[in-house]
Amino acid sequence: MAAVVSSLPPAPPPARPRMLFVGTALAVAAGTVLFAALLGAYLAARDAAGGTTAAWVPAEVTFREVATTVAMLTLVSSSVTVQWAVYAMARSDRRNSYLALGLTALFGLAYINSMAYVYRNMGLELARDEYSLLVYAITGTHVAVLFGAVVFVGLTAFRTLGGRYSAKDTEGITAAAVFWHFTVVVGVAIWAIVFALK
Amino acid sequence: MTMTETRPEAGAAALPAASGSTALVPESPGLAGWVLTSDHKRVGRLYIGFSLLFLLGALVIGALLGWERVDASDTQLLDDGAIAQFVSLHTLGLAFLGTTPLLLGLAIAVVPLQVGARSIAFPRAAAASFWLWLVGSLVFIGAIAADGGPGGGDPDSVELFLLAFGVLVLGLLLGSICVGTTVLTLRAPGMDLERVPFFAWGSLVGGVALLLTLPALIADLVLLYADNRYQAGFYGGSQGVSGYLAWTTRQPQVYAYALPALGLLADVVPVFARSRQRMVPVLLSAIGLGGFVALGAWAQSIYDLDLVEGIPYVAISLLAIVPVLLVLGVSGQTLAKGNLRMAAPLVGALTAGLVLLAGAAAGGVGSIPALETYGTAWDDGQFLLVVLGGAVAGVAGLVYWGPKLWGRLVPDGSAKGLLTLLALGALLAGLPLLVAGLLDQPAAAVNFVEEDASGALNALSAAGLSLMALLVLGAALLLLRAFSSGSRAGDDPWEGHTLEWATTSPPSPVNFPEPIPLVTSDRPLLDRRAAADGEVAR
Repeated sequence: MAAVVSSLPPAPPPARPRMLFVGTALAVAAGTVLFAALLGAYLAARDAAGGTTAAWVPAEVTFREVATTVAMLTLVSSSVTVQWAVYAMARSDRRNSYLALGLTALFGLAYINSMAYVYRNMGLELARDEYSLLVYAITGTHVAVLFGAVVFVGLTAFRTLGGRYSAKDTEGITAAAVFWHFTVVVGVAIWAIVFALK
Repeated sequence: MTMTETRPEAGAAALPAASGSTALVPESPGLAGWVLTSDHKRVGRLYIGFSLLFLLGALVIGALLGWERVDASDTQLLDDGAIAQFVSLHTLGLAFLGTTPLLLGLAIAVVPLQVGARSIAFPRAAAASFWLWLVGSLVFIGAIAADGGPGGGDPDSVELFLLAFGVLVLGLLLGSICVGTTVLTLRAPGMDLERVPFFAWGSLVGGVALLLTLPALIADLVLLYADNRYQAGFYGGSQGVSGYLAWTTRQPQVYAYALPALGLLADVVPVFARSRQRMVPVLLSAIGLGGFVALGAWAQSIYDLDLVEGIPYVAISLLAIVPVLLVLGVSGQTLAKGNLRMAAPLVGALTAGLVLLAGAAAGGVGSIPALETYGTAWDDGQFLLVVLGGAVAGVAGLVYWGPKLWGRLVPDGSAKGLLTLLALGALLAGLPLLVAGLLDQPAAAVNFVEEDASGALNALSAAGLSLMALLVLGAALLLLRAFSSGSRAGDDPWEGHTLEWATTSPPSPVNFPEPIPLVTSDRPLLDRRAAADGEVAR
């Protein structure tokens, strides 16, 4: 009996990691090294100074601990809102997605504003000592990266408004969320090491 | 009745014919076309052109420093106060303005073709990476010229130097993200990661190594900038800069700059051995191990001088020999079993591999604490061997992929001689400094207490650097002549094994005519050729 061979359509190409997501992940890896190096330098300097808060933090510095904690909690809240944007877009809920992205950017700007308040009130000259230099270098770099994240989220929001993303394609929002979560994690680490443990 | 369901084979037969039939879309003419381009091949060529220029400059400065060292009791050729800045321009220039961008530019131009992509990932970001790097490099050089390098006396220029260094590193990082994302996400259907060509794999691994280390350099630059800008002086002001940047030109970090060279060697050898590479997993693993070894940001001895005598440092330094040895060993075996064709790319890749092996071996031996080579000229010699080995590989890559970059062939005889001499120049530049290091000549120094043989050793090293400078100039002129008026290359002049040879020379702006090739092995073109010859593909 003759064999009948029938053809099936070609196999679909294997699923690939998404381009913007992968690019963002690589950038996040690089950013992690940046802040690990800065915080490592802070801890090494603190260790060299004796490792105690008394020997390390200048006596005249007055941290507004409520302000730094509220700033950190604001940042943590923004992690929830940015994930809310991803969740909403995955369900084609554009209105909630716009709202969540807007809130995320707002929380980010609020954090930057809080840091400006902390800077103004802590009474610390940048060139006073190694502690002050490191505090400003670390928090300033974080604020700069966070500002970049706000721009990223803002651009994503505009592209969402333009209909670029949908339930089938949430890559851009997911990538923005990954970068945002990274800035939040770094913000929490800075709060813990620089402001809480000092 | 028996019914058998089969899917159409996504095999070698699906590859497009390697002919020149594809209509080329002309590139935008004039300067504006180059300035505004986001075509990865043009961006890559821009990187290559400027990095060769900067490499030449760094070698000339190195040669001047070398001749200055011949009589270490006094300075004759260079200004005494600017020695530290010349040294920085030489070492940092070789690493960040020469070898790394040369190999990155080659990767930006070639890797998308190798993986069957129609473009690089984030083409505008790739273009931005080049402009960031170029502007950063020019300001970097200008700041040093204005007495602003490490140890410089002009505070504004020192700040500018630190800022420019950060900008050019950001450019390199952005380029690495583009190349890495291309390999990870834009591979042709069927091309799993284990089927990726070795140069693409080496570029991915090298790029990731840069991404996981150079941000630590940016952190150093942030602190140094704040220290200098606000005259805090906690990091030594301008005098402290070179100490905080030293790790970037020492092992293990230095391996990150030359890592794609191992991929190039592994790609070139089977083509010119006319043989299939049977030990693909070994080579991929070796290059991956090289990437692990090259994660050198932890080895910043400015924070802990004892670190260089610790077991992790010694172990990593010794481990660095393994990837080079493996790639060379497997390549040697492939050559021995193959039908050898001794063309210029093979000569260049092999000699570059040998220079890299000398560099890795020097790194391993030098890490042994009993030899007490740390901080001596041994470090300078080891750095030169690795970075110049990478540069030789870069030039070999230009000869190999010239048809894809410019559509023309480089004359084989001239290229062969030039690449051999380049490798000899690299060995001559680096090896005498190793011996000088054993004689306790301090690293990066021009004035020091001389031993009997110091003058001769430094003269040999200076001769090597001078030879390298002349040969890089010769290579640039040869390439320029060949690529403007040389013989036109066919689409697959070397009978290549990987996808870049399946498209036209030079490729069209979209790289591949439809359809994008379907890949079923790590050597798709070799399979196609074997199938055409009626041989068994595997």
